Amino acid sequence: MFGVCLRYSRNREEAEDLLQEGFIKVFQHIANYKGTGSFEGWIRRIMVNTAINHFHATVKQQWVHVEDIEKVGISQEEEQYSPQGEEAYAVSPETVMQLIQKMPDGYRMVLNLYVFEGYQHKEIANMLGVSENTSKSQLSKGRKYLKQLINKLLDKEYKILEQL
Amino acid sequence: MKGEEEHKFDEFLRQSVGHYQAEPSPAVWKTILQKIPFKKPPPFSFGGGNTGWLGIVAGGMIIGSIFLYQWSRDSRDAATIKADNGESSLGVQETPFTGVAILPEENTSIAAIQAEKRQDTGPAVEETIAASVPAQPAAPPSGNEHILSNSGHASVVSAQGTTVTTGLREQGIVSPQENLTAAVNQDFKVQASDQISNSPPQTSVVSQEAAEVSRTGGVQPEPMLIASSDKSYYFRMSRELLEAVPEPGEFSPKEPRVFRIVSSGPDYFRTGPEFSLLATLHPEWLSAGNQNRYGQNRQKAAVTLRWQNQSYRLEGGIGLVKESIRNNVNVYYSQLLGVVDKLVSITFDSLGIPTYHYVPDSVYDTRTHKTTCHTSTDITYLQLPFLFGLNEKKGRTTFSVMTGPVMLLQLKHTETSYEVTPDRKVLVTYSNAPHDIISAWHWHLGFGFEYALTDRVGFYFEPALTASLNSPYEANQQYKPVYLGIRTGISVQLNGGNSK
Repeated sequence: MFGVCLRYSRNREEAEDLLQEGFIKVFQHIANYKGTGSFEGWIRRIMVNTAINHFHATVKQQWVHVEDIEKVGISQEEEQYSPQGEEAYAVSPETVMQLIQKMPDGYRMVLNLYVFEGYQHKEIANMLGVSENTSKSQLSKGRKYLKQLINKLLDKEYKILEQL
Repeated sequence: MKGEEEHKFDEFLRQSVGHYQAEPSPAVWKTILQKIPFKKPPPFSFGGGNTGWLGIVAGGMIIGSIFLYQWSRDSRDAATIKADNGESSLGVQETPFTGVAILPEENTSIAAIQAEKRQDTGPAVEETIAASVPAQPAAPPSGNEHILSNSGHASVVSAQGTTVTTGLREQGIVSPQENLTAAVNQDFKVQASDQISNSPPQTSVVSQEAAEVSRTGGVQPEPMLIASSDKSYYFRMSRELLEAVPEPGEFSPKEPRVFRIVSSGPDYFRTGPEFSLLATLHPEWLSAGNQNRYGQNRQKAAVTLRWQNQSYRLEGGIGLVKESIRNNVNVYYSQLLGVVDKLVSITFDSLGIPTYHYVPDSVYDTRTHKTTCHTSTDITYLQLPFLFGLNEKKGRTTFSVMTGPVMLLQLKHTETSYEVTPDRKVLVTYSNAPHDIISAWHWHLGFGFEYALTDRVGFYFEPALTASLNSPYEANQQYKPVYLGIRTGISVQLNGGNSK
């Protein structure tokens, strides 16, 4: 469950806060679990809900516009990351996790709910209180942002190796 | 095309971090443990907050026993009256007087009336009170004596007295200001005989106690006590009063008979085979050892059908068992010292240039740290006891040794606990209900005694030992805990048995 919390948070400390808050909810509402379905799934849902509440409560600037991407130093012209073959192994899960944590909050939230939890945009829009189009655009931009981060990271590693 | 790329990218993300595992710092678990509001079970709890059903059962048993107690007394009254007279048409059962003796006109054969004082633990002691009777106040002017004997339960007598009073009031014998009341306070046995036919004396049991019957509230209260011993009381009643009894039937004071009809005493000396129902509560506590593995206490409730004679007893029935486990579990973990980058792979591109791949690796100290976690487990079983044993009657008390197997079928298993998985040292919790019925066998050994509250209702008390024949918890059947308990309950006899 800590891995789930890491995906929804900006850093390890925030993830631990989510984990702590989520598990306290689990134990407080353990009687509500009726034994139908996966218990792990039930806990995971509580963790995700905790993350969404945390997102609503603490994140002020939730939705990132296109121009914000420029602020983090990534141009839109950079090639999109398209993992194929050996290149797919060049980015470790830890690195991917760190890059996800670097994403703007809105991107990260929509990406998590869509890609990892399997929600549709309509459901995501309801959960986050935004329009369906906003959810779609945030997902699209989030993907692009993450790909750019990965490309940039790979480019840096390549340059370091060249210097060696 | 774009959609396909997005799908590939999403799949890459899912494979990469979809099942990402990481360990939080141990301090997180400590904080969680501190913040979770665990309810500490009280010592010697009968199941913590799950005792509602036990309370309902106990309440039902108490109310039921009171009802049965009253019912058994009433039924005993009627049955004895009928038997003693041998003439059900006497109508006595229908009269408010359950204990009336009428002496023949020419006689004061009160000597025919004997009373046996009852003692609970020994043979009855016979006491003739005839000698004391003639010394009593002179007979009424008519020469007849009508003796109203005590009988019945105090409340019954009182109610009957009220009925009598009503009837007597209608005929103007008892003034509206008067009440005819009775109270009783001693057990004794009375023999009665028909003075004309010289029929053999018939015995009935007088339960409870005779204290006084008097008219109160009137201007001139009429004393009615004519004879008494230290344990017995006899009362005189005028012919007018007896004749005024509603619906007397053949019960007429003009007939020269002695009717000594008293009843309501419990017969504790049954000798024949008996069938009875036994409702019990049976709290159990785990014996020493294994207390950190199994439930410290269990609560059993059962209703069993019991057959017994003078020497043997068989018992079988059905019930529920609620087992509660409240444990503190020690969870061991290693203190996280920090995270270092660990080289996991090197890849080479087409030019042979290497790429080094690292993963953060947690480093723990070698000392094992410990934290205490709480667990709560509740298991409900259906129990089917099959017991047999020996019993010995001593007056009201029956001593017994009961033993036999008890089959348990697990109906529900709810568990809330922390657990350390072997690979991750991460605390998890789970709660589940069994998909399959799990059976368990116990062997019961109890040393009980039963005290007859009435001729039908008894109180049962049995310290018992319960040994597990198999373990419902362990696949390897290694742990078979032993429980100590006390089985208590109320027994209700279904048949009459044979009276001495």
